[in-house]
Amino acid sequence: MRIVAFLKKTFLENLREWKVLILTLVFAPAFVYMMFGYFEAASPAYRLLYVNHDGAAGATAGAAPADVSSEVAGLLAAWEGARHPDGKPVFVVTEVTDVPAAEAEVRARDADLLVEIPSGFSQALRDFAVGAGSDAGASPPPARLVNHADETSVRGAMAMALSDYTAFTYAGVLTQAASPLDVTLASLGSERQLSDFDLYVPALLVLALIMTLFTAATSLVKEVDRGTMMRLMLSRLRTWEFLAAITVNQVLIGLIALGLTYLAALSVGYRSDGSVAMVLLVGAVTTLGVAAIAVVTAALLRSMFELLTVGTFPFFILMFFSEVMFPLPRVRVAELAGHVLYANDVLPPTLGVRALNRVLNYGGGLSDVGFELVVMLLLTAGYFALGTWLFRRRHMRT
Amino acid sequence: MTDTRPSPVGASAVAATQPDASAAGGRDCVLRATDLVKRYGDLVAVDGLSIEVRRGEILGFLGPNGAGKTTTLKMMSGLLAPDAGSVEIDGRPVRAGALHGSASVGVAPQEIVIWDSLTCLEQLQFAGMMYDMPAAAARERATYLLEVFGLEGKARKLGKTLSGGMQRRLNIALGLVHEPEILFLDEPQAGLDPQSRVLVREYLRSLRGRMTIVVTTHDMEEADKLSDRVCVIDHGRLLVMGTVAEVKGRLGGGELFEITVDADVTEALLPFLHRLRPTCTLSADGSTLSLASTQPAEAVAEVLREVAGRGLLLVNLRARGATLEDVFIDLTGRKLRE
Repeated sequence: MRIVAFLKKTFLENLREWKVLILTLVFAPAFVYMMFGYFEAASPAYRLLYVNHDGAAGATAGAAPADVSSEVAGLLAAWEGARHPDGKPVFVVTEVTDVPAAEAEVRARDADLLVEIPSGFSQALRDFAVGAGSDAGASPPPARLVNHADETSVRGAMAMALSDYTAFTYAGVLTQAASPLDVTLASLGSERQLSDFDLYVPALLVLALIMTLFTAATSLVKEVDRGTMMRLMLSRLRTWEFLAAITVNQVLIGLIALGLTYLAALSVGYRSDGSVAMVLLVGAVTTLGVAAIAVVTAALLRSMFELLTVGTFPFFILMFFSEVMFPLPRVRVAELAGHVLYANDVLPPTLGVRALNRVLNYGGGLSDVGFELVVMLLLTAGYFALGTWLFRRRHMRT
Repeated sequence: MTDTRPSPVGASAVAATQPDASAAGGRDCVLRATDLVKRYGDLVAVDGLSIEVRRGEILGFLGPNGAGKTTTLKMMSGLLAPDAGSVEIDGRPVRAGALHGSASVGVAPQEIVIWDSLTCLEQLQFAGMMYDMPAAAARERATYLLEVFGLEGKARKLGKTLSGGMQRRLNIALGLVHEPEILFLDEPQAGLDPQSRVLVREYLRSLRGRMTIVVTTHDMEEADKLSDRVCVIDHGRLLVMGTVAEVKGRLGGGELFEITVDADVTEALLPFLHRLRPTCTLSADGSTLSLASTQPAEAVAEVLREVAGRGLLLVNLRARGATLEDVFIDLTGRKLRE
């Protein structure tokens, strides 16, 4: 009865302090739209410049112009036809004539790659095609391309790799030359093609849950800040009831935030292979972990001012070290029952992201995320124990 | 203003009142605090304080700022652990924190402690339910208290939207919601308008005999009107304890003489006042000398002779009943406290 009354009270307070609640509920969905826009805008269409010494200059990219050899025209068409899995072009291809100026663009990272097509490129391909088709002895020398790139730039390296791959494929098809190596793909991904945004959605869902750190800590710190902890201490409310009521409330808020974030993802075209029940289960367990960390945080703070200043540090720690914002180098700590544990797994949301990724993007079930759920629950129990001890010591001591 | 009665009077009062306090305990004592000590670093906030509270009485707990009233109240209500000494309620020792879950104690602290985002009705009902009152009973009790404290029209208003005075009344009501055996009120009248003071006072008086109330206050008039007994503490020590009449009677049998002359009393009569001090209780305020003595006629005559002998003009001479404020000032001095 007490726990229900306290749950109702905390829920009403959260509703009436709507600014924090709205921030909690809206932050992650807003991030969904923001990141969707980012991935759309930042879809890696690499800027590829080329200079053609093979045929007449002045040809424009696109349909093969009459003053460009068919081999060069074919190469340009191959680059321009290259597509990402989501159908977006891999390259934006632009012809240049001033090599030093183009190199300066690459150095300034305004362009990703400059490819120089040397004189005799087309002839070499033609010779190679004839040579490959004949029974004559030695192959003619290969056609050459020269890449001008900043290899320290990730985009430059990627553009170079993709450009080379496209050119090799094109040349192979054109010359009918046998390749000494045949690489095939054994797909480990889901049957559908996953975009970068798809892979980011689980992290955004966990971000929604991390936001409950504020509502949970607010519920706790407010009792200390306003002195009402004294009334609760004198009453029959037990510490575990107090913490349980706040935690249950946060799980409810967390699941609402999770639902809103998921809806936001669906609204921009995200589709999941996983079951909603599994998403809710992983979400609930992750929220428990966040609530436990909120108890530790609240135990160290005495006022709402402290919560809104010092209290943001745990939030950022969760946000950045749980791989919610970006992947981190993984420091292997232990292996347990065939599962590897990394250093940042000590933060339950890290495991939440991993588990949600398996459920949402790879259709994983309970058996696929059981390990993560168990470890999260163990960590949660530890954080709750530490938080309760600290909270009692700092705020409930007489 | 000048303090003409430093600590010796207080010291003698302690000696005189300790037996009085123990005697009170023999009569259905509900709360007994023995040799309480509380230190904050080098500061001794409460220094061997012993008091006993009778069942059903209203005890006024008086003392200047920093005297140790709130600290004592917290120790007696189980909210603060004493460094030494003990507290018993109904003969059961109270460890700090041990009152958790006990319905025997209610507290209305000096600062306003309410839930900002709950309505008046909700928070009173919630507070009741935290003491295992069924929801309906808690709601009924909450409604009753809202009426008693003149908040029935604000039942559905959030705590943070109430005026300061209303919040204070709600703060008191929250301490009463579970009908505790002992109610501790810390400065309940602070911030209340006269109407609210009367309302709160009358309700508290209506509880006399049914509930034991320990109330700290700076307001001597309020303490006079409300309390069955009062105690005065300073520097964490008990100075005096007794019924209001008994405490007032400490000053010249309860009668006080005010002698006004045409000069500053302290400057004009200081050596004389020092001579007079052992037999009288004296207090000077500008040109007025207040005097209480067990032999007032002789003492007043002596003063008047001195006044005449020094060529001072007697402006006024009057006798009045001693007030608690007189006793309070007499015991704790006129010097301002932080």
